[in-house]
Amino acid sequence: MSELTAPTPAAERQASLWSDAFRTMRKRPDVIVATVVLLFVFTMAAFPGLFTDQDPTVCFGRDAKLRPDRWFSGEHPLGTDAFGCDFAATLVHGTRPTIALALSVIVASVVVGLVLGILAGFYGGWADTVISRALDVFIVIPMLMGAVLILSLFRGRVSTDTLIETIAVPFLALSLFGWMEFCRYTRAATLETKNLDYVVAAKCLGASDRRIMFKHILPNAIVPVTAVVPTTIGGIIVTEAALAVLGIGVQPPATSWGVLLSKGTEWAGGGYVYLFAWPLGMLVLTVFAFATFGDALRDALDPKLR
Amino acid sequence: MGRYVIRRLLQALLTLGIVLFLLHYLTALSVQIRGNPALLFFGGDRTPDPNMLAQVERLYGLDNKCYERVGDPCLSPFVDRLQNFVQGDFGTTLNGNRDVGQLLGIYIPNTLRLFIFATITLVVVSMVLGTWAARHRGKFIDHTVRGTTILADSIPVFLILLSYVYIVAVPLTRWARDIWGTESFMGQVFRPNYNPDYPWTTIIIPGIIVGTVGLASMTRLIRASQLENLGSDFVRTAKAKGLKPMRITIVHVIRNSLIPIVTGIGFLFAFMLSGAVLTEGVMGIPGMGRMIFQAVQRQEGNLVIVGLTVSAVVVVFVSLIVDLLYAALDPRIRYE
Amino acid sequence: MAVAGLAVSTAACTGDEGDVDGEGGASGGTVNMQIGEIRSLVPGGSGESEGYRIIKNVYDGLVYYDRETGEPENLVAEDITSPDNQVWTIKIKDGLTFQNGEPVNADAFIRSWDRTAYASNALPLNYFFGTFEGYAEMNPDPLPEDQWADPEVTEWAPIETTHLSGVTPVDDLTIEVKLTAPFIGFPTMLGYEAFYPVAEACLDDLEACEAQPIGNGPFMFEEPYDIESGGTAVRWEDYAGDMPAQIDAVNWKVYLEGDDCWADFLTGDIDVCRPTAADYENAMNDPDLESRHIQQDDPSILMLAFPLYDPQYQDVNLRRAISMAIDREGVANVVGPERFYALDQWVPDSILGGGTHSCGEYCTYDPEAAAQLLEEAGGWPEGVKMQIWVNDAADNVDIFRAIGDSISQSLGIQYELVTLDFPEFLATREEHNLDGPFRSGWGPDYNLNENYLEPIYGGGEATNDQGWANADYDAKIAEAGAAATLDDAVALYAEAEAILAADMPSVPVFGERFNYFYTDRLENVYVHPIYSGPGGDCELREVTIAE
Repeated sequence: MSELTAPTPAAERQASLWSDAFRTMRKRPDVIVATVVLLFVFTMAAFPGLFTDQDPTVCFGRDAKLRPDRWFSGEHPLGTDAFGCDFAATLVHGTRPTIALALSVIVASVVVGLVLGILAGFYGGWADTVISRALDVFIVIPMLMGAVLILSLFRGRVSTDTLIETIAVPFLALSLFGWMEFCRYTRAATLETKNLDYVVAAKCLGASDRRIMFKHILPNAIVPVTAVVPTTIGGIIVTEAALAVLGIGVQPPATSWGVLLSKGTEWAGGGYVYLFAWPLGMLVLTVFAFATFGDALRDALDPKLR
Repeated sequence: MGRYVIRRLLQALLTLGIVLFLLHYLTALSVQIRGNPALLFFGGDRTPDPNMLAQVERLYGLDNKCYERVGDPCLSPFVDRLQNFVQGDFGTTLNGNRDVGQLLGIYIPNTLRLFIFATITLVVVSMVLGTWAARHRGKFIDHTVRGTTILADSIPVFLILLSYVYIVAVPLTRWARDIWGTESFMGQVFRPNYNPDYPWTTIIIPGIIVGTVGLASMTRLIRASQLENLGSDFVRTAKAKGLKPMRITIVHVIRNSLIPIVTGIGFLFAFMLSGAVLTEGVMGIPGMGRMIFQAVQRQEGNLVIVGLTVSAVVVVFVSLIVDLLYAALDPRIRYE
Repeated sequence: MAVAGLAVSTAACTGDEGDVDGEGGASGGTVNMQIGEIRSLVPGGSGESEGYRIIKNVYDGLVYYDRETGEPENLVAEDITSPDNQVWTIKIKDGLTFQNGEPVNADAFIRSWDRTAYASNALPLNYFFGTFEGYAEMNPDPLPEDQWADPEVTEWAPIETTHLSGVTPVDDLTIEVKLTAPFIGFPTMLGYEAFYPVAEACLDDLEACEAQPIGNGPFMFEEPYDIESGGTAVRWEDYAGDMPAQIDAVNWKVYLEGDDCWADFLTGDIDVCRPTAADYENAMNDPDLESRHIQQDDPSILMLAFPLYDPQYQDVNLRRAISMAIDREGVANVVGPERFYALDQWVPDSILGGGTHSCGEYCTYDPEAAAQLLEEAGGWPEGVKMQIWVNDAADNVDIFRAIGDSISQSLGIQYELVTLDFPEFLATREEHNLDGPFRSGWGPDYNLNENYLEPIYGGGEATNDQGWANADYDAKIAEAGAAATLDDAVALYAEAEAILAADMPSVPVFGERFNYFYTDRLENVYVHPIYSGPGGDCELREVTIAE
């Protein structure tokens, strides 16, 4: 059966679309800067030991909120935080949960959205009805509210020993309310692609449903989805921070940028601006990089808007 | 058209029914997992007499044994609740035993006022920026507008608010009061907290700040649709007729760019409600977002269900209206 | 719904603005106070600090707690006597009335107490009447399970008794109260909201009375109070009691949970406010503000209690070691040094009988001595984490994280914070299911050291949260309750505290502190040592406005 399917027009078109996009992106200076920023942040998340040699869990209450006297040197290069832990260490070690959470949520949301979207669009009928109803239900509950509801259920019930335990609950809550956008895009793209000549032809040639879905429809559906992924990652990072400020995101003593920010906003008004400015700077820089990257990607993948 | 509306309404009802049940189940689960909020009635640190506790559970409507079994969907309280809702009885709060219907009457207008200012800000700013960027497509201004709006969107709105309250509001209010006096509009508008004596004035600033949520995507939408229109046949015709560029922009381009604005607002509505949680919390506005958040924290199950259902109803109907407006604005769209 | 609501709030807005203009122009005699969300304005229904702050100014109780000593001084009562501390006779001053003209007599008190003690009303201060004779009849057990209509729902027989049999009016102005056991501290309870009088008209229309209380105190509401937007109480010109108001009116502005008044204080819209921990330092660095600062001890205390039902915590030396390992100043430094002070006793100084410093050296930070005590106690099992249990309200998590850090640095014991919601925390604590030290906080119901000892540690191992039992302690508490004079009782309770100190079922960590700032318009600002709201408060009957 497989020898019957010659390289489809779709595959060729897709290939040139992606390489076109890549070529366009490569030339844009803002994309290059954003990529550098993102690489830096990812490195920090993966290898915190490169940036600090202090243990963020060694904290002396008496040393709380020491302002950094000499920048980037001395025992505490960025001073100490509200608990007397080394601030540079908490900042660096807080990167990993933030990034890991954002990436895992986006992966889960995209996968769930793609699968459900293709199923709904391809089979129609009951599958479509059920999935569309589920979409409606999740869309009418605003993400933050839904996350608040779920997180409150589990608050304090999980330990914060390992990375996975730390981000498990926020991951669940954010993914549960994050897949709908991808599902909608995929469903629309599937409906459109389903009736294109080459798909119908593939069907006539006896290709299995699974083959059609993943070989012919998915490459088309993935384009609009990819275009919004970077921006959505930025959005997840912001939402995590919002949840932390509300006191229900990643739970202390585990840290994330959101947790640092929620402590930082408390103390910034009292003159400890550095406790607020550093995590804010990191967060805005990262989100901005993701958004810029996403913006360029959207342009590149949608030639109409160029 | 009529059949389409009826079908959409029926779908909306089904959606709301599912939402109601899910919310009921989650709040029941919350009582089962997190513990019975009746204990809070006694202030906490002291051990209440078991009989007194049982009385309070009855008062709270949490005396059904199903609230002690984790995972039990508590169907009979759900049916009771639906019956009460149908009769227009939204129940009472746990703390202070207040009528929820009355509370909504206080909270909804505050949130609506916030949304009015937010929507105005969003539409006006993104309209101006989008149009400006489209007219200077590919030039420095286009890139600047785009970069700035993306940056504005990258800073979480609640941090802008917190910075405003902690850093800017107090000196600004003092300065304004020195010049215009305490009771004047200017003396009130910059206040760091909402004040029920000035329900419109003190909600302007938080409204404007909430309005920056989604600025980048909205500006982008408007820019794109204007570009499309600028390159369209009817604009070319207008140009050929020798109309002034200003007139072309206003009459032909902007009017035809209304469609994405309508869609955008409908889409952003749910986001704004999320934004309202933090905004209302930071500025002390007694509105729906803050009410729902506090209700979740305090396990006010009834308030959570009613509050989120109200917001769900609004979202459902806003999206229905958006779809209908879409057809009205764009003659190419027809609903069967 | 929305349209109707909008109309209502616009109407309210125009009304309010008119009010503000009127007062602002005419006298300037209004004090603006912050307040939180209140639960009720009818005595017996509030049971939290915010409602009590209004109630204690709108109503006059039998006694008023002196703001310097905290001791009860007769206000509505003429005198309160008892031959045996069990049967008490209360005489009421003649000629006092409610704001609607009803007399304040024995019936006014009895109707209020009956309402609160009646189980079906489910009022938060119901438990105050637990020591009264006749309480059990008004708070019966539920019906046996086989008589319930729905097997899932508990049922009671209708409660016939609507009157506390232990309370009898001897004449129009005299009440006799029979307690189930002698209790020397009875008069010290009577200044609390649970024992305030209620007018008959109030019970006739409770809903109206909740919004616009009919009090007998120096302030009265002319317009209903609104839970979200507050309200204004004016001075009651016909007030005949001993503690009149000096100012024309007080306006309460509501700050709902999670919101604070400090920014509004800085713009002058609020007259008395507590800064948040972060704002405090700035406020103290401002010489102008610093001169208008009131700092004094709050009677609320915070302890780290031990689960004595857990085999791990049996050795008193282990408990002492943990106590000495806590750097109380360091922990305070984390959560705001001025808001807490290190505590080395179970009853704080501001309470009658407090100030014994009974914990002494064991509540002093000394990591070496702590390590030695730990060794004597047999050390800490290798690789086991100490679970510290807290409820996650307010600053608790921060405080106990800092405590855990401190223990971990001093003794090398790894810790883990287990945070629970308050209801679940309470339930788990009560069921003795905690497997590590836990938070225990206490704020007093009345001004007597007994209130810090009996309710928390009494009742034997099955009853109290620590699972602690000591026969000597229980005997001492009983002996003190039957003492002839209040002074004897206080001394005996202090001896009970010493027994507690030797066993250490919990370790005192912090006492709390008020830190209030007030605007330059105000004079005679006094803060009550026992009953003050957390966000900023002052004695409204005494405060005056500088012109």
